[in-house]
Amino acid sequence: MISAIYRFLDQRFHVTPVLEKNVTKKLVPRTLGWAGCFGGLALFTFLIQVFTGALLLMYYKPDPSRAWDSVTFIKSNVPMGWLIQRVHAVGANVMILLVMLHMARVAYYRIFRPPRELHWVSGVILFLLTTGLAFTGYLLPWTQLSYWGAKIGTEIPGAVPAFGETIVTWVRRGRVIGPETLGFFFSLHVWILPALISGVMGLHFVMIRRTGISKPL
Amino acid sequence: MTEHQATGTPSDRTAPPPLQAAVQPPAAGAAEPASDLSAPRRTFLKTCIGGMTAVSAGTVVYPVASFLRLPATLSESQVVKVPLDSLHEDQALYRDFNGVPLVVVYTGRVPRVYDASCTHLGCLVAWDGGRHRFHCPCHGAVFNDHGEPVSGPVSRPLKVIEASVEDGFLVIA
Repeated sequence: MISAIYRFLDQRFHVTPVLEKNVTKKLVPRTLGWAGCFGGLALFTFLIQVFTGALLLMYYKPDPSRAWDSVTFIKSNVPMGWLIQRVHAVGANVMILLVMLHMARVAYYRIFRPPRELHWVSGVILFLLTTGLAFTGYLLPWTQLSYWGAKIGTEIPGAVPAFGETIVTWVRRGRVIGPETLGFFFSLHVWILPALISGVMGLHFVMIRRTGISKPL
Repeated sequence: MTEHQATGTPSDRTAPPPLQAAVQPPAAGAAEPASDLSAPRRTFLKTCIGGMTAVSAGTVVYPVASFLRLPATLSESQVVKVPLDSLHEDQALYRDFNGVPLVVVYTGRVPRVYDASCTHLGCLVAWDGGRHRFHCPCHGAVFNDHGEPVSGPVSRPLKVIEASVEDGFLVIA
């Protein structure tokens, strides 16, 4: 059945040479160890986050009076909701950990040297976007930890000379953390940042394919 | 041995020739004992890999399928009680009965309860107290206060809902 479908597609679109070139007969340097997996694992974790996030979005309500209740509803009333919510929350930490391990390896083996400088630059942007996703997602359950975490986090740009106060007010969509902050963070978390990170990820991968992965000594 | 050395260096990552030969299915009719041994082993390995893949997929599919089921909500009220003194001549009350929209009309000092969904395509019918008519906003169906179709694209009457009077309440159960 599956092989029949594969043959049908292969006869029309010649899938086999593409698969052989990119997957089944693609050779990687034999000295590449398990540490070479961190980037791919970070991508895999991102896909888990997109998928579980889409499920949570069915019940989450981005409103201060209902956000906490909706998350509690997911955790206690929706079948397996506790699991999906936990996977999303733990997955965020795991993704940051994997991105940091990936960066540590790239830094240690100096893979950022020419011709791969822009891989590193795009990687740093991806790291910032990942932390941005984690920070905006942290506010959404509207718990005490979320609220004060957002308050402290949004105070940081206040240290900027002259414009600090303006930046803080802009990020909070007002002087204090309120409904507008939640709506802004929600929009960033479910659409703007995922769209940006997907685009930069695409560039990151295209660059890796163009230069090939670095061959360790 | 000379053949192997010619086809690949030790750093070559493609499968070495001896393994290739062992994996290839035996030719038809030839080497019966060999096929007796290798075919069940291949089936066994395929079953193992297939089983592990199925279990792994199940650990993902089961929670996600569960998540998409209807959540356990607060217990729905199975009974709708309408105080009789809230009913007024020629007026209608709309109530939700476990997700079914009900309309209670009070004409000629008799309360009547209907499913407020039009029997044409299911829009909610609106009560016109002055003319004792239900009007459907979607396609112009008209019903009288007994739920019978008067005009428009309908032939079936509004669905009558059983109700009883208990202790000054109209009870729909």
